[in-house]
Amino acid sequence: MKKVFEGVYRDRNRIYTVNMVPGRKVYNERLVRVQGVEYRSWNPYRSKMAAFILKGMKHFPFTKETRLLYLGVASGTTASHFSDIITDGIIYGIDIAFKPMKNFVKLSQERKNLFPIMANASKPEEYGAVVEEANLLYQDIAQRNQVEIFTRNMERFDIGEGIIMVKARSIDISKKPERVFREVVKNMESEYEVVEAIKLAPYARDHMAIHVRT
Amino acid sequence: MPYLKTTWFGTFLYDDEKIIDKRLFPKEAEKIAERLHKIQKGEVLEEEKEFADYRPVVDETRLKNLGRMGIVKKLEVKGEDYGYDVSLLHEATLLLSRKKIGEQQADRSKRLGEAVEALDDVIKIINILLERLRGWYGYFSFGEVEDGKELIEKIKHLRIGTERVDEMEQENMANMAEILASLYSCREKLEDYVEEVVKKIAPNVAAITGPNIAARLISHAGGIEKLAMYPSGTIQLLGAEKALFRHIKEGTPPPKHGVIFQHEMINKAPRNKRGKIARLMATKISTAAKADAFTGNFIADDLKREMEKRYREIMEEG
Repeated sequence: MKKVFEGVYRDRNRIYTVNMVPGRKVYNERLVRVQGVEYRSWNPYRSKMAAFILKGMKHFPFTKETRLLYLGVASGTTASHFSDIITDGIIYGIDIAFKPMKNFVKLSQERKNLFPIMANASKPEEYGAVVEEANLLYQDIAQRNQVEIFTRNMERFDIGEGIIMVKARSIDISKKPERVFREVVKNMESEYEVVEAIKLAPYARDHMAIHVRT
Repeated sequence: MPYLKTTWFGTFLYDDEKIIDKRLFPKEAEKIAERLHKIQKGEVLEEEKEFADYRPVVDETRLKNLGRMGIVKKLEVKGEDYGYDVSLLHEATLLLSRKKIGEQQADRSKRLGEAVEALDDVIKIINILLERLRGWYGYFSFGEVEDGKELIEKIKHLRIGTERVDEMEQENMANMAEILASLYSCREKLEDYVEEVVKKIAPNVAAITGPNIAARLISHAGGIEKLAMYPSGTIQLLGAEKALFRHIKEGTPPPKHGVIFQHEMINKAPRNKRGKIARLMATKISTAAKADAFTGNFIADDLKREMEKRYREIMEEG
């Protein structure tokens, strides 16, 4: 196992995080034991963040103490790996859909750094009181106004850094994804410093990860 | 003018220099969850009301009557500073999410979608079995049996040779016929259930379109309240999303109707009039849905009369 980033390890073409709850799988991922430490394989086809790392991400903003606001947490596949990485921090996981939320609540019971919040990400006022402080925003929401949701939350919680997983087909199905990406990056550049922007193919079709700072 | 801000552990009144006053919440996860729930629903907490006399600056619309909206200075306090361990918030978020999940599960109009889809599943299975049994029975008769229930009876009373293989064959056919019979009754019960729920939550829409189409519209929209908020152009195309996106993406002709096509007023009309009738029906559904969701009045008789009058006009046009 070779350390690639804080809390992220690599062995040949797979990446891993250290399992916070040894013996437990979250989404039937592979568990590997090396020198007494259990690692969970991080599947890039299931998690866009893993795809981002494997596609050559250079600046990893997560630390052990990160306080993460995660919009569109769904059933917690990606959040479980963040939970492994952010051992001394907090992950506020927001999602509006109750079916995946059931799973995320279960996951949050055994992982003390996961805080489930069933709410609409485009209405930060509704969950503002829960989010005591956040220094990183991560968003994976398939909605037309996903960029607006991102900037609104960055502002509301005074967050200085964020990663958005842009789904081109949700923003405008009639335009070529390339064109949507160009427009979104340009849009982001007018508001933030764009650290990295990487397309996630072949792991996720028509998706791009954009990492920004204020 | 002081600022007012509520965190997960209390309400704070402060200005640019200091905290003027505060109301801390009880140190119990349940009490905290209760307050977070109220905030999410847009309500004002008792703790917040206590500071109303200050007319504080607030930045949440739910508090706009308490003070005045403006830019609120960031409040630099943490739960730990006041003896609120973060595990208390963890417990509160678990309680609140479970409660909200429970609310969704208890929402009958959300579950209606499952019943509607179950009905579709059952109809599909019926058609598969019916086709198979018709083909099989064809070996024992000259005429085609159109009606499914009649076919079931005929198969049950089928008398064929006395050899073992034929007995087994007859037994297997009868078994399948039995399943088909119980699927028919399953379909009827599902239809009754859907009809009952729809008439309760959307009597007006049900009267305009019939309960089956009404149920599909409601489950597509995600509830009668959502359906009521849709413009009629959206209602007209609910269920035709695939064709709509194909139109936007590839420039194929736009769809004229979605779920409502199942109404015979539309599917029995000549092609060149279907669009017009679909538009007409959608506007009436839109009005009916608003009555169901907001006023609770029964106005469907009038709506239906208007719709039928206009329908006749359209049909008489050249």
